[in-house]
Amino acid sequence: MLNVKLIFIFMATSAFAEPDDDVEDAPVASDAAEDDEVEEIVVTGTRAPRDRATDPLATKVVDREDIEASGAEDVADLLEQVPGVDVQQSQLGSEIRLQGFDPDQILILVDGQRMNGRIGGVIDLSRIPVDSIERIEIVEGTASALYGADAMGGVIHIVTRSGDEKLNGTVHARGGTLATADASAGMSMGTSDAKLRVDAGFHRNDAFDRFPEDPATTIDQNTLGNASARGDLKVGADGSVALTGSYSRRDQQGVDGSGETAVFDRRNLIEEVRGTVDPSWVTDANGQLTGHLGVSYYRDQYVLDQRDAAALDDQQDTRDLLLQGSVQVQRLVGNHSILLGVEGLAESLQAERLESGSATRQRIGGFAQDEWRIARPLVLLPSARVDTDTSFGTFPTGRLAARLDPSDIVRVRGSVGTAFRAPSFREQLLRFANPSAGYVVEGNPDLSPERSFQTSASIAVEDADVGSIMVSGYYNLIDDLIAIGTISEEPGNLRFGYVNVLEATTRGGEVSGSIVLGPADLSLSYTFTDAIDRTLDRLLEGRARHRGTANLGVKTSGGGTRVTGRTAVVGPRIFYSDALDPDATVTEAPAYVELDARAQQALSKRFALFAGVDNILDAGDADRLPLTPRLFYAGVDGRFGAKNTVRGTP
Amino acid sequence: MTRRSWFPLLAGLLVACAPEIAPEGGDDKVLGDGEELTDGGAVRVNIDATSEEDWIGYSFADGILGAGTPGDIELQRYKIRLGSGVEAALVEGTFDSVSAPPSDGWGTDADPIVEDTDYVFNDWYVYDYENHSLAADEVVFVLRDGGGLSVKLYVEGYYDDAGTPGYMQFLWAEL
Repeated sequence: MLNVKLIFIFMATSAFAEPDDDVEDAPVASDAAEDDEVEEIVVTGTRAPRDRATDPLATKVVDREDIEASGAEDVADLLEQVPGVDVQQSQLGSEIRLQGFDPDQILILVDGQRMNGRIGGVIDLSRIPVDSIERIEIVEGTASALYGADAMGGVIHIVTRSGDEKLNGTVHARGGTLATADASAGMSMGTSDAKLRVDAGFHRNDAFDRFPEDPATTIDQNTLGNASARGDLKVGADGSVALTGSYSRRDQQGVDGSGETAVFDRRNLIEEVRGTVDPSWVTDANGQLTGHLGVSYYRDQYVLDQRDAAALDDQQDTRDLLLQGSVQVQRLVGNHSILLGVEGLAESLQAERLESGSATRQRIGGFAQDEWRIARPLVLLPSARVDTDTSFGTFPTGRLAARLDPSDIVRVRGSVGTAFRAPSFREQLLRFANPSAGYVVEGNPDLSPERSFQTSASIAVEDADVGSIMVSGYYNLIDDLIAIGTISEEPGNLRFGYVNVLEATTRGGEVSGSIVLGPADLSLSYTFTDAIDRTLDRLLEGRARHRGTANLGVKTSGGGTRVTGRTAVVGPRIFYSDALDPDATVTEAPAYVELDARAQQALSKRFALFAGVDNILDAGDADRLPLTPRLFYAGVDGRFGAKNTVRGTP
Repeated sequence: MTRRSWFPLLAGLLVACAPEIAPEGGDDKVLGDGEELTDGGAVRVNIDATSEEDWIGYSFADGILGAGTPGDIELQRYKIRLGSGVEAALVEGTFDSVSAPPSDGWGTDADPIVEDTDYVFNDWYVYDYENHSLAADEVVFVLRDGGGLSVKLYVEGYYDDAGTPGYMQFLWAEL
């Protein structure tokens, strides 16, 4: 019987074998992979499982150990100290930027399934608890040539935890200031052919106000409950299927209003349902067929309740449904690893603010990739994709990536390619009237996708025993950026709408490194981001030009105690009162430092206590930086069942 | 863009567990239509101008005229337009500081109205971009017509006690 997982790895690594390697080498390669304990499987860069060390594209990985050491309870908190990942708090939630690209220009996947439910283009990362996450893969730069729309700044891929063969489980409980309470539990069971993991969690925090002079709250009160399950089954000798399902409900409540005018009690009741089926079949020693079928359903009940009146009460029920399916085949042909696939999407949105109340659209894309090992140190990775969408037509993209290994520890990577972002339903079909200010904002069905031409390069030196250092740079040209402009000046009725009007450039670089010093591991990074609106010749708003991170972990020689510190230093950010007005009022949000510290003490192989402080310096304000205030917390982690010990314990 | 009916079917299969939520409602704290004489001899007027379709007429001689009835001025939401034969001039300063009509600066609303700046009264407010609210500016309008009308007018506010917009409050006195 062929081991499906090892075949995956073999296919990914064989492209780096000598050109005259043949099928008979497969078991050797597989054995080598099995014996290599440091091998780390990633799936995002080339859209197939492979050893991270051989990936032509640089992939940042936040694994389960990182998650548990961080003390983070949600993805936003987890990613904010990752080099090159710009996580910021806004009124739309926790939003993410990569390479200066906006949140709606970044593709976020969960087990290969696109996340939906963008509000103002933002997927609020704080709505994703880390309970059931095995790892998060981050591939920066253009990826539309494999993934299609929205993968301009990169791909954030959340991979959920798989079950184990033996019965075991985890429990986690945490309490803290701001009436914070987090509790989660997971259980795994299975056999060699069938594994199951189920997780459930509960998270809450009180509202918080950084500006008590007005009635508005800065941080919403949140209550989140979530449950998920994942099953991995072998089907016959050469097949497998992974099934996932999850449900979450978030109740978010806050107060809006300056006190000068109306005051509102605001509530969002958000539900998410996600399910995926991923079958895989090893056709022979050189080929594999994989599929994906997924559904994402997002419902947001939004209520705005005016205090002392009902005149301005508002209620909206937004339902976003996404169906996604794909089939891809991967095949080794000589020193080529060929990937061919097709992907289809069907999306529907029901929302009161859409002119028609609801809308649907469908998209189909075909993609191809060739991982071509030209000579031993050099790999080329050309890829191309064509998408046809019922709303904006056909859009082709391409990318050429290359990797050169001058030595065993030095890796040089580069890529050049194109990408696009699909106009959202709201941008195409919105109708929003503001009678008190006398204007109407309308969607524009004729919008074209935003498009980009992107280049990037990096050089990394990696030694597993000592540490690593990486220097990277990028230069991206973005055209047809969508912004709100004047589309009509009918008498007495000003109308604004979305137009493809702006051009922008993002360029920058990153220096990051990590080093192991006995019981301590230290990682540092600095990111420079220069994002320029070429149309108005000014900086794009909301981006910090300078950003740095420092993470330090120290554990005792026995491993029973672990102390971690995480810091993010974020430079000033510019904001404008009007996106298209060259004379718009400019405000600058000041620089800030986020500093977290955490200590964990193992009590036994199965239980550990932990305590920590988030945002030690209490950074934040009510306007541009609605951060959770300084938060003290403590809790316990426990594990039961076979093979399980608390991480870091002897 | 295609709009097909597969959404309700599929959405119905995904049973949402959360309860339906709605605003709790409440009694509006509106400022009803009305006029009162102030201690200084001016007239304070409250007008419900919340309608997005109707213009509410006001006559300095006859008071609030109601929807669709022409007056010396007419109000709709935050907009104020001049009645037929009425012209106005903007004077910077407080209400009490204006004691006589200005010698220049008189004008009428543009015809046709293309945008808000075509109203003489367009500058009565300052727009707060942070809070998306209107606040009265320190300006006084002086109005006159060919029949002997000569008044000064200051717009005091635009919101009722609950913050609902469209409840226009202004102060006027004869010059």
